[in-house]
Amino acid sequence: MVTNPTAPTTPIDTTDTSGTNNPNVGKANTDGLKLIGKATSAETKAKLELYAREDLYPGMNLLYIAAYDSETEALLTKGDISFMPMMKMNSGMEHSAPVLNKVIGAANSNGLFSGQVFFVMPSDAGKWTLKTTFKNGTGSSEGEVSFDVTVTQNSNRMMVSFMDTTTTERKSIFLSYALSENPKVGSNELKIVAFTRKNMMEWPAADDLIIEFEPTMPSMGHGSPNNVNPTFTSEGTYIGKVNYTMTGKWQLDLTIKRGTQLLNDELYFDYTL
Amino acid sequence: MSIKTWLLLVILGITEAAFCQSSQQDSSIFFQLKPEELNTVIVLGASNSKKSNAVQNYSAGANLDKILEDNSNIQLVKRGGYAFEPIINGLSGGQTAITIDGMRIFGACTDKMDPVTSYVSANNLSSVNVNAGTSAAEHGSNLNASLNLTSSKAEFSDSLKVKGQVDLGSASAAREYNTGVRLNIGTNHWALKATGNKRKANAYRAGTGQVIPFTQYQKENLSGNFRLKAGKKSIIEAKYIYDKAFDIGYAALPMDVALAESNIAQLSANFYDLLPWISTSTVSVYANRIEHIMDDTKRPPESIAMHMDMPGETNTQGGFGSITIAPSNKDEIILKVDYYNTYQFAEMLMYPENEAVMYMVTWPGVHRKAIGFYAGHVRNFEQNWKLNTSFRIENSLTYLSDSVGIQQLQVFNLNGYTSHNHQPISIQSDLEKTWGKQWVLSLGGGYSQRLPTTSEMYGYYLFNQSDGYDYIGDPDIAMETAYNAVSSLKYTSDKNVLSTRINYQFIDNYIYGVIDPNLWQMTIGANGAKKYSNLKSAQLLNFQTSWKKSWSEHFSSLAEGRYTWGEKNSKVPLPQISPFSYRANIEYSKKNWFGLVEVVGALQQELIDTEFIEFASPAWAIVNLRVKKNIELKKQHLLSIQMGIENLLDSDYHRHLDWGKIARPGINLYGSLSYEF
Repeated sequence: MVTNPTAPTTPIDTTDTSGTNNPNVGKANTDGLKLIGKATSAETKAKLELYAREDLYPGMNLLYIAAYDSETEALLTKGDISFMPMMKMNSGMEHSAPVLNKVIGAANSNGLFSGQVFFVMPSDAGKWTLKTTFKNGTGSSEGEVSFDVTVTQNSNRMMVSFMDTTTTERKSIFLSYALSENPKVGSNELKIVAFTRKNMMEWPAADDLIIEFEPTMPSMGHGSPNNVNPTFTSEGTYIGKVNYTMTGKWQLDLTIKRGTQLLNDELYFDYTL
Repeated sequence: MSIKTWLLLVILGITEAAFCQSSQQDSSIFFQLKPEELNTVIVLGASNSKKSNAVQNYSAGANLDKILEDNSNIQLVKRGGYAFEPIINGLSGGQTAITIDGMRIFGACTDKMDPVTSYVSANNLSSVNVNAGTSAAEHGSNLNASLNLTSSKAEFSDSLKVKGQVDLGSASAAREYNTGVRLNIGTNHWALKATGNKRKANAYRAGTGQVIPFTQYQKENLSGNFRLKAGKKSIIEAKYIYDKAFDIGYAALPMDVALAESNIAQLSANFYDLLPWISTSTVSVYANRIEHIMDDTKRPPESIAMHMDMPGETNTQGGFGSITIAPSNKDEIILKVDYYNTYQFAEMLMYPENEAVMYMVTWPGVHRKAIGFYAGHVRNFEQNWKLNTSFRIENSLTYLSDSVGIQQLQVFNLNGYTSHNHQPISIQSDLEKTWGKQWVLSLGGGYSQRLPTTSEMYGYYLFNQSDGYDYIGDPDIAMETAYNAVSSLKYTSDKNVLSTRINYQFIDNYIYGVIDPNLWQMTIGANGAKKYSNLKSAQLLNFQTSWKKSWSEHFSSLAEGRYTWGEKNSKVPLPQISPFSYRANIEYSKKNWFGLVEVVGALQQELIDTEFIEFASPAWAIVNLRVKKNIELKKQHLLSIQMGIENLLDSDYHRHLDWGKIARPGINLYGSLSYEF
């Protein structure tokens, strides 16, 4: 379930809840993360700090919130967080973007709340705002803040889309090469998350696709062995295996089908290891 | 020296060699075939003035590759003008063990461009032992083919004495020069020998008249040997060999070599007659490091797809201890324990335009620790029967330590943390019978196993220019196992020496690159990828024959031929097998004059491995001339002048094992001066 960031249904990440029991957490551990913005929520008396693994880019971004009590500076580790990105385009049109919120009732072992936001375009065409709702578990209050964020097209191609012309609605389908950690030489999980743009605000998960891929190094003209096509798990998420035999720029050529019907075979991701 | 002395030399190994050779000067080289031992000893350093008919003279600065190539057991794979890869009786790479004074040393190039023989120089060696049969496994597991290079030792003297030699040489085909210096300071208690050698060769001119680009090289070699008598029964020896070759062209390959550098050190103690029944014992420790850096920057830009760096290194430490026991006057036993620990790492960096550097580890930090035990026994029976027997068992552990290398194996669904244990065993035996002083017949056979190499286990997209495939190792590859049978017959009379030898091997689990259609090539333009695999079997047959005759006091002749045949179980010929080759010469020697006319050649080779994308090669023959004059200036001061012409008829030819059909040098006029004092 992805469409509505205020209605989180993502299962609790049971591997990541030790933080609530960790008395030593006085400050969130943000090692390796980059501060994107800060905001204060008056309703919840919380100062929120937004972190990401790198500059925000089109594609799936793992975002983290460190919440501190605005008076005592104590780290808040109980509560829920949900993200709602909004793009105000230069043309005046507004739309949101898909989200997978990991709302778990508590921060992870690093004292951070996290969620996955899929920016569908860079900020060049307008202005991205990340609305963030925080439910303070300590005081049972809820409030919303907004971060102005900049989404920059980096050297990788992590978000692609095409129009599904096989249905009468002719909706666009967005696919993201979702990374929870940087790929390395060797065997890597390949996670592709797919959404359908139902309208400007609704992005339901696309659960009925068959995704095939072939990794290649364009400058060398070779691929890699023993890759596994991603298969559907849940919520638009398809998981397979991609093997990178060396560092450098890799391209993942995609073939998207529904059943036996070919939807698109011209898209590709690329990523530089 | 008598045959018996040589026998002793090989059996007793390197320590004894020092004593045997203490009376020798160091300016010429000869081969002595010893069929009854199934071994050949190439001696570098026999006296100039006292040579027999068997002597074939080389200048002291002679290129070791040329010396090896003149041995009928050895063929060389040629990729440029330097560092030819020896193939011993049809076996190469990990099937052989190449050692220096028993030290294990491993080349650092993933593409076999730096065999161990390239890290020494003829002027710091005293002999090269080509071993097959019972002594083959003394220094490490192999398929019954090993090469031990013996370095030259500092020589003691009854009183303080300084001896030396200066060599200068030049050759026309590659506008090449070499200089060498050797100095020996000997006393009754200690002795020090130092050698230095420098060689520079330009790209050579072939018989077509064309200069073959990328056949140049430069080499510098320094060595030191120090020996100290500790008491009456022991000698301590320290040695160091430094070798640096640079600007090496590899005409048959897409890349050259910027640097091939080795540092080799050994410390040994030899004990003599410690107990009445222990004639010698040796303890030795050693360490060596080899660094190899490839270079594509001198190639025309249009010939390389993108710039690459391919450095490699090996680091090896080891030691051994051996004792020679004579429990009776009919038995001699050698027992040896050896250990080595080697680390081999090579990487590859490619630089595409406007993109990130591409990096991979081609030898993924491979460690190998191996401990071996060797026992050899010679027993003399009544009526000139003799039995040689040897046994070797080795226990080796191979594992990876490079994190990228371990990750890389995941792409083949392999766990890089798995270590691999091998226990190669070798058992060889031969029975020898001598009739009178004329006939010696030997029949032998055995079983031998060898460890897979780093490339065969863990090679990661190693490009082979010969067949155009990238090679990938298999960590689970099985050891090759060979069953061999050998027979030799030698007849010696006053005027004639006739010998023949035939050796057959049946090799189980023959290791060979097999095309894997599921694997991509990595190298731009490669045909695909091959995975090192065990073929069911292969067969190998070697036949050699030679006839030496003394026609008169001054004239003698030699005729020899050798043939190798090899076939995979698929009935397809084995790759890189030389055709029938021959050598015939007439030698003249009188007092201080020596002359030689020689024809060397081979028939065409049509038994080719089509799976290796090998091509037939035509027959060839060349004529060589050599003249040498020794002049005794005053007592113990000897000037030796040598001149010769190789490929007198300026033939345009290549040998079957020359990669890329690159033409060999055309007419080559050379000369050398050697001054001993």
